Amino acid sequence: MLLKVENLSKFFPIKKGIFGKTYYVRAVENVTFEIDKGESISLVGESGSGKTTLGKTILRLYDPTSGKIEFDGKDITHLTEKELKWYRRETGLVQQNPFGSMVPHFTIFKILEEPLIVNKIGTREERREIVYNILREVQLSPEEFAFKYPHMLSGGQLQRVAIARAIIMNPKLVIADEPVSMLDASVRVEILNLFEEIQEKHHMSIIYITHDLSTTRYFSDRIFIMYAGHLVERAPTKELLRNPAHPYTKALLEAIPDPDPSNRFKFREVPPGEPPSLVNPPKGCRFKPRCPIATDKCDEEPPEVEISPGHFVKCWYAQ
Amino acid sequence: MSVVSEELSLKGVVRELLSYKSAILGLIILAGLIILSIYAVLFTPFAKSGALWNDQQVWLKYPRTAAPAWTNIFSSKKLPENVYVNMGKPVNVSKEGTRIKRTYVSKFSYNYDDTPSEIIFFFNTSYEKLRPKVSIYWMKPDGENLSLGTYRIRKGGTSIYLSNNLRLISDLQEKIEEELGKKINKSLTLEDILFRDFKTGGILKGTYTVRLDVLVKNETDRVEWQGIVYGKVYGLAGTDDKRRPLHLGLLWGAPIALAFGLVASLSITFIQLIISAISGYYGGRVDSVIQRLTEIYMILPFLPMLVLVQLLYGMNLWRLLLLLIVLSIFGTSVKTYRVWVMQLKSYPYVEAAKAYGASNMRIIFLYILPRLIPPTIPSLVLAVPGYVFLEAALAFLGLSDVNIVTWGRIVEEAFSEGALYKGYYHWVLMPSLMLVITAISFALIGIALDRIVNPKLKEM
Amino acid sequence: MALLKVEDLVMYYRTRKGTVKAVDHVSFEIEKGETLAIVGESGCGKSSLSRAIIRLLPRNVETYEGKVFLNGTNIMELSEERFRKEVRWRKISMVFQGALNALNPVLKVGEQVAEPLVIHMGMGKKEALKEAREMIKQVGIAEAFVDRYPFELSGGMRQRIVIAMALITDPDLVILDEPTSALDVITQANVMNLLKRLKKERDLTYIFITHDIALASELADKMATMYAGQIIELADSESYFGKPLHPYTQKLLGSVPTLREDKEIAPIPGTPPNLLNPPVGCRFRPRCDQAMEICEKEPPMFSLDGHRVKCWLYRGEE
Repeated sequence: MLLKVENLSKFFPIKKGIFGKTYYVRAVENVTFEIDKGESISLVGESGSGKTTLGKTILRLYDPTSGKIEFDGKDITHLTEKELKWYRRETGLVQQNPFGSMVPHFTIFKILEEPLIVNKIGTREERREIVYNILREVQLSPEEFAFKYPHMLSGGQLQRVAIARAIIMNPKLVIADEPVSMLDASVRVEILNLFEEIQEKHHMSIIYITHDLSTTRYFSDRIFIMYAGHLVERAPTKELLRNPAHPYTKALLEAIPDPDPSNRFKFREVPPGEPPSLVNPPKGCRFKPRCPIATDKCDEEPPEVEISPGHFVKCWYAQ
Repeated sequence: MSVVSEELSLKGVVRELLSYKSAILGLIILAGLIILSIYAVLFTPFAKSGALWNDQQVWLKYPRTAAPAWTNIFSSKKLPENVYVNMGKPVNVSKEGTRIKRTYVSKFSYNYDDTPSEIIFFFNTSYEKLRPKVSIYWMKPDGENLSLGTYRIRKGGTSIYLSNNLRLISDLQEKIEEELGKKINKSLTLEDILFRDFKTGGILKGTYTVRLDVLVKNETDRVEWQGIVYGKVYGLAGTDDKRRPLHLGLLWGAPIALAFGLVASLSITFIQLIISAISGYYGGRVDSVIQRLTEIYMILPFLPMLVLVQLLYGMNLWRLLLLLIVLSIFGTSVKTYRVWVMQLKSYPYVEAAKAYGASNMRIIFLYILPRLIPPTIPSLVLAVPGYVFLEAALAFLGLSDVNIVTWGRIVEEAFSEGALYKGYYHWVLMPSLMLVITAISFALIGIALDRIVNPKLKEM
Repeated sequence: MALLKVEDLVMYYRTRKGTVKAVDHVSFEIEKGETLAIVGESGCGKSSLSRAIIRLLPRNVETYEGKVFLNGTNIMELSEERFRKEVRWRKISMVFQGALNALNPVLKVGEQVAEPLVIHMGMGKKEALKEAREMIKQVGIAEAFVDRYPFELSGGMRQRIVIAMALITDPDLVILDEPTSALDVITQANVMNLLKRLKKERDLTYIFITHDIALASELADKMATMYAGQIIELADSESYFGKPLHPYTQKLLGSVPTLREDKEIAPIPGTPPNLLNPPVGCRFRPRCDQAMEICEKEPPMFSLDGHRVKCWLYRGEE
């Protein structure tokens, strides 16, 4: 097992006025899961569901409010930035916006060399070798791209650089936060394929954060569904797509169209409304206000039930 | 708003800058000022300029409060320039009693439309026993001969200020009145007497002859002399009331003005940037402290503090510069820059850097600060003349270094001598012109840079 | 007679780097009650096309010509004044992408929806507000929200308000420019349900601009593919999805991940062309694996039983 997350919560304080009460945005609450070495996970949720916060908390870009994160058997929940040095080398991050994720006044070479310099890896020549190799690995010719500036590259090329930067220290875990959502459809597939290739080759674990359920099936072993800060369902990919158990997952699957001309003749059966505010979320199950099968029981937070091997659902009525 | 467009490279900026005619003009003027400054530092006694400027003896041979020579071009009345009456070889050496008499004759032509401003004869002697005696004679183009008196010359350098010799002047006036057979109602100046035709009152143009009879005791006694007929115009910028040629003052002021403006602007901007970066990046308590400090700085009384420092410690240029920097680093720009930093801080690349373990200092100095420099350059350039003017304004209030020559100091001296009341406009206008030219050059460049760096302005 | 007939519409604009051929000789027509979806990657000119139809041109426009017939009248010949008074919003309205930017933050949503009636129809304010209230109910928002400000509404509700604004003048044609791009999938599905319902109830005619080919199938009676400023394929939805003809459309469909069926997805090689300097001849030629010599000449629009395609592969099959 590579990563173990136990009852993890992350709240952001917001203060209203100087003497006002402090409120909390309960972005992630009580999340528990484990990830094996070399496993790829899709973490799916709408914007504001807490999926990005969860990813960044795992990377310790945020300090957890409560709960525990174990990486490779070591508790990293409360390590200081100094103590985290080794952890930074074992993890990588790919961000959503390829145009904003590169220092604009650095060349591609410098951008990729930075993590190595910061972590004191290799001599000048060795670093050069590493950077050139990694560029080749993401299918960018070093001769052509190493000394270009980010603004000279297309979104797809930049995202390859971002992937290269994330894996340059050969980490065990890469978190990719919506890595293709800003790219054109034709480029998306390329980048997703590249991810898959690299993951297999280096036997890395990947957490792929996305709002787009339809891309997940192509390369994730398991899918986690988040709603309003809660992890509501997690299951192997095929199982989840075939037998969604949580009413929210069902709604999500219903909402996504496949290209089909008969779509225009039918209405989609999706719940009305929108996700609740995370400052003052509903008691118990957070999907309750929109849920077609909710009862009074749902005012209590449902436990996570394993309805079939590896298929966990946080719902009172899951079968 | 994104702070800065992505495609800004130094080369690109320069290339674009050269596409603005106004910027080219600004650059040419600035280049001129820089060349002047380099020339002033390398090829004039710049290091001693302050001492020279304060030493009145150095400037004896220049006319007093002369206008710039080029003003003649615009005037129908041609004002005189300095005319030097030089010694040459004695035309005759003879014995007179126990003394030796050396006779010198010098001629010069005078074709100006006004009288000169002053006449002084300079002597340099060495002798054994008796002081040499000198008699000066003046022959005007119309043949009139005037004796300008006999003088004893002391050892070393002696100057005979003929224009101040009131006895001589009244004697000469009497003599002329006799010749004319009538009284002249006003008292004439020596220059009137020596250069005017009394029948017409006009200037006598033509060749003047000066004869000097020098009586010495010994063959070895040495007497060197020179007469100067001071003009009313001089050089590129004229002179002041202490005969100092203003073009030298302006020349010596150039490097100081540029250096002061640039150093002040650069160091204030960069320190402000660093403070803002720390404030905006760390946020929290650090930010609060820095922000409260800037608010306190906003109400600090700038001028009284300068006066206080001058009273307690005295003022020189470096102290002024240091004070200016210290009193400006928490200026209002810190608030603007801080907002930029906070914006840049939220960029994904900062988060990415944290994810691979880059330290905060590395992120601030390598990732964030370089992004802030391009957008601050226009305001940095535009602020330079502000600091040059500030130095001038402070000099005007007497809050400047008296041991160096600055443009502000020249203006201040002009004002305190009442230059504008007395009609010595050049004395105020020339240094002001330099200040304005400097301001214009920086403004032209700064405005063009602003358009390049903040392209939104371009569309308007 | 078609409701809207576009013939050889051209819209170029100038930038510092040169002329961008955003809309380059585009022709199509829409019948009343029909929805045409125009799909294409970002930068293919689909948004420019929608703006060219409603004549909201960029300031740096260089060429703007062609014919646009609305109910048989060439609206390109109208003066700007008449176009504004008689066509824009009265006959053709638009739902912009990014609902937050499309709304005036200091105007209550009721007033906002009523505004087109006041401006374009010259209606009294009171009456307009009454109609706006009705329209807001129709797009599925409780009456209580009429007096709220846009920031008090959720993203989905704002998008509904923008739709209400586009429908309040009862226009002949509604242009939907990525109407759900900022929304989450379930909210998107809700908005799409609304658009479908309104289409049915009011017999609306839509032009639906989107980059999402699956989403296009939710509304489209007819589909068009746009590539580098040109429409390269145009067919009714069944034919378009069932048997796409243009290699680009085929590849585009092949790159779309699907949820319900297992299929291999493949990327489209190469990068989309630059509209400043598009390739000569067929613009997809550099990325096409079926390119031939003749493709260096610009292909005409071939029509195979009403399925139109701009590709030399179908020469002689008409």
